[in-house]
Amino acid sequence: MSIITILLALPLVGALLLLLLRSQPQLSKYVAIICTGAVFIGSLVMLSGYEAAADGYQFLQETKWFPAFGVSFAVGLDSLSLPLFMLTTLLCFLVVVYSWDVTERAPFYYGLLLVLETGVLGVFSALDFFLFYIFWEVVLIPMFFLIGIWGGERRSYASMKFLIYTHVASLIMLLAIGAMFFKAADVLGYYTFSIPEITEVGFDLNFELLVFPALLFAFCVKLPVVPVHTWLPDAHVEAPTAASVLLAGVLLKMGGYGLIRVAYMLCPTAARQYTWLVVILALLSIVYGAFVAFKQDDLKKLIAYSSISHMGFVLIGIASFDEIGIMGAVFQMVAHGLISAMLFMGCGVIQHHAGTRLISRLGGLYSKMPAAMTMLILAFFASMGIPGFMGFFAEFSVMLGVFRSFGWVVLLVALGAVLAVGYYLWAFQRVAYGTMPAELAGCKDIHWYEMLPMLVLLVLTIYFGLQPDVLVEYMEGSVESLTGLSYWDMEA
Amino acid sequence: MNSLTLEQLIMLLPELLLLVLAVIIMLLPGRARTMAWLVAAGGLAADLLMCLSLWGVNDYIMGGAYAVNNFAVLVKVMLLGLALLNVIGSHDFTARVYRAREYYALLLMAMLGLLIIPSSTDFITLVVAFELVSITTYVLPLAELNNSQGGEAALKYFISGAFASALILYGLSLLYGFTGTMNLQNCAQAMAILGAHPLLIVALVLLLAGFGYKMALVPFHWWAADTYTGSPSPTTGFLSGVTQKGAFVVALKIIVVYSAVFAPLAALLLGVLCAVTMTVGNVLALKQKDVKRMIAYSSVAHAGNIGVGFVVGGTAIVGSFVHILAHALMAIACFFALQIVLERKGGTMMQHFRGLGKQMPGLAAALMLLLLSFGGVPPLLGFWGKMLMVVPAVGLGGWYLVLALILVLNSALSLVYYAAVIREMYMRPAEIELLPPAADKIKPSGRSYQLALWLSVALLLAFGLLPNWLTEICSSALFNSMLPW
Repeated sequence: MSIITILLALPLVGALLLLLLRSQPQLSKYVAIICTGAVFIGSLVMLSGYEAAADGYQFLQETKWFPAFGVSFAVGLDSLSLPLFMLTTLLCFLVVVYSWDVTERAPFYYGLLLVLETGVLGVFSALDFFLFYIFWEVVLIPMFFLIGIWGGERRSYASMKFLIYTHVASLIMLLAIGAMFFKAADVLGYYTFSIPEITEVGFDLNFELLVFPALLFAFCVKLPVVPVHTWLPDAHVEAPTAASVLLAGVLLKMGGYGLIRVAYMLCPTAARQYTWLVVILALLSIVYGAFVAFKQDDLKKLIAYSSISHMGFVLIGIASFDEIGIMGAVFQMVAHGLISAMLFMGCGVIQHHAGTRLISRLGGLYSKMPAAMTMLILAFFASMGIPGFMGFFAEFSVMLGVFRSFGWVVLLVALGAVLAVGYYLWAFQRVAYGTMPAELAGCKDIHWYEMLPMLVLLVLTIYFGLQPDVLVEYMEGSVESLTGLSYWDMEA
Repeated sequence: MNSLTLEQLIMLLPELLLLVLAVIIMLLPGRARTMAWLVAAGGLAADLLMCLSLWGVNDYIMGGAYAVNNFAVLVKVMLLGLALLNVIGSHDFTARVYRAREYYALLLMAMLGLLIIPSSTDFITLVVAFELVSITTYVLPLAELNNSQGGEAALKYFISGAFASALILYGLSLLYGFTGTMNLQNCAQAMAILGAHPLLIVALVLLLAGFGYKMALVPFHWWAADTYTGSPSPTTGFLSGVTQKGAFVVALKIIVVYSAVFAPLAALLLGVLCAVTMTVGNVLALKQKDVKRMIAYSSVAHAGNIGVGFVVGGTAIVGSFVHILAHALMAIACFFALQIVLERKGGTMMQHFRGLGKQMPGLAAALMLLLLSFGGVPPLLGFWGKMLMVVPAVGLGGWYLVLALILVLNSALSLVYYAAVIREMYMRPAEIELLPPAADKIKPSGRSYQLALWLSVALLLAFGLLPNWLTEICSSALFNSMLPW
């Protein structure tokens, strides 16, 4: 049995334990923290055994599940999925720490977080399309409940919208998977859902041109990309902080991961032909997301739109088909995972302590909660792409790749980054400085359990910002498999 | 006519046993409700085992009019198992209805008809068996005398059923006039020789319309919502989970007869029917405020889903069978769950479900699993059937791809109203207090509902996690001992 299987099973065991301990809700956070902590430590142990230099998937396991249809329980990690896998185990652990004060239906809440963790980890490690799809769907249900039960005022609307949007997208993906399954069986002579085997097949162009748009749609909804992004602001605004963190931190990454792993790797030729479409969508997301972020009064909605803008970087980086661009896109996924987690946590702190997230009703908070505001501005800096933070390396690589592939289109991409500086600084100015509304006079500074996860994230963001090589080394293989060129070869 | 040997009689034992048990139940004293329940449940269980022991037999008896093969055994075991679940759960229900004995006797007679259907090799036996099922079940919605909706339900069911029978008989008379035989196999051969003829098409349309009523395909579905809603929930579970599934077996036989000559036409006709059924069923379900009516419409939509597998053919038929089983389990369990909600909260409208997650956590969890399975969320069994139909359809491309797309989009659409119920249960505070569990003799505690509900959910989960076993059996039964004659 692979260590991945154990890591996938652990949260489920925890969730089951929570079910049994329903009568003692005060215990549930300890169960959750031990469980996610164990998964995180387990994933670190796994990381130490990962050979960055080796090609292909590691920690493989393949157990037949449904042989008549070629479905098996196959898991493994490679240089593309490993960073996202690690990101997930880390964020799930930090989110549980951050949720230390949740008492409303606590066993259910932590149980859902744990099931969600299994789902996301499964998506990143599945090597069988079928398994991939099942984990993909498993992710929806806990998030639906997290938004729908612990969410804000319009939670019921937001949770339904989230569920329907993403469910439709995943069903379209299922159709595409079905088509590829048969096409691959024609060539291979046997039925299999194995992702590596189907990737090896190589489809003809007409077929690719048919399947790629379906896959693109499915993953773009998740990423999300304008114009299928509308579920995201609603979901984020209504979701509790922990769900927002996971939604932005890891769930969106599923879209990017799917794009690379499935859409681009399986239909490379069609992907090149559709580049114009993808680039337009990406630019639309980058610029539209940034402009709309300016207009937001709700801090969380602002961050949600900035997420859309930043995910546009991922999309255009992938579309550039340039080693540096794709490198940047993958890096941006991890960077955004860490940074957006920080942003939403910071936003959650304001919500908890000041009682509102509306910028127009905030002001002068710096004097009341200096530590929280410092963390917030550092998170803003990171998200803006200030050199020294992870975001800088990611966005710069993407822009470099875009310039090499599409020339001056890069200016529009850069516009997104420039606008980010604007909306973040303006928002911070209105929140932290100026006159403080009277009702905020009593608000306290950040709690330790809120501070701790943010600090961890900050340290990581700065560390990887200054030492991107550490991470790039792990990701290199994924770029190679898409472009056939190594990032390091290019530099030489 | 060949006479029956003792050996051949053994193959007929399951059918004979049901007949004998139905008579025995009627001979029981009127107040022996539990006894009637025991006889019915025990009889069905024994019948199930008997049928299972026939697995692997491949024989014709009564001069070729009655086939015993793996296909027949599979269908029989499936339907008997489902009926058994339904009967197990019905104990608390019949404890307070006026005519408990008749209820079980009729159920057993209906089962007798359902056992004959998969084995019949000619249209006469098929129609007679199906009439037996229909006529016995027309009365079932009336089991609760004080339920005014039951009368309407029964009447609508009866009128539409009688009309459908007329259509079927007319179609068959055309078929007989044209081919000169009522034997399924000979009929197919005759068609192969005669080739496509407009009259045969008319016969096909009439037959599809007739059985379309029984399967509740749109536009022949209008009775279903009223009958399913008006009948007491355990009866609805039986109608939608067991007898309606028998109609699919008949439809499959007819399609196979026609497939030699009319495959594209039959696929198109039935395909359009299914596409419309799924869409209309789901759209109507979307608007319902009464959850029972919603599930009734969703049953209509699921009938369309099942039909898609027949249209696509090949491996997709396995998908159809898996989905028949899945939907039957879900429907039976769901209607028992609704019955519990009705008895404990006084109704099955949306507001009765508010806060159920806190009031009755066990029931709400089971219902949530059922609804997710209805919506086709993996890895529950409701997903596998759809998946086994969609994937081959995509592989065939063309019209089948369109059909697969419609199925998939409908599946997404259906999740909207299933999720709405889940939302009411978990995300809204309760408005209506729980009625105390009545434990007196007239109103029992509802333990048998719970038992049947959890048995079904357990089966759904077990088959959902280990679908291989089920599909292997289905495909071996369908493709090795094919065909229905």
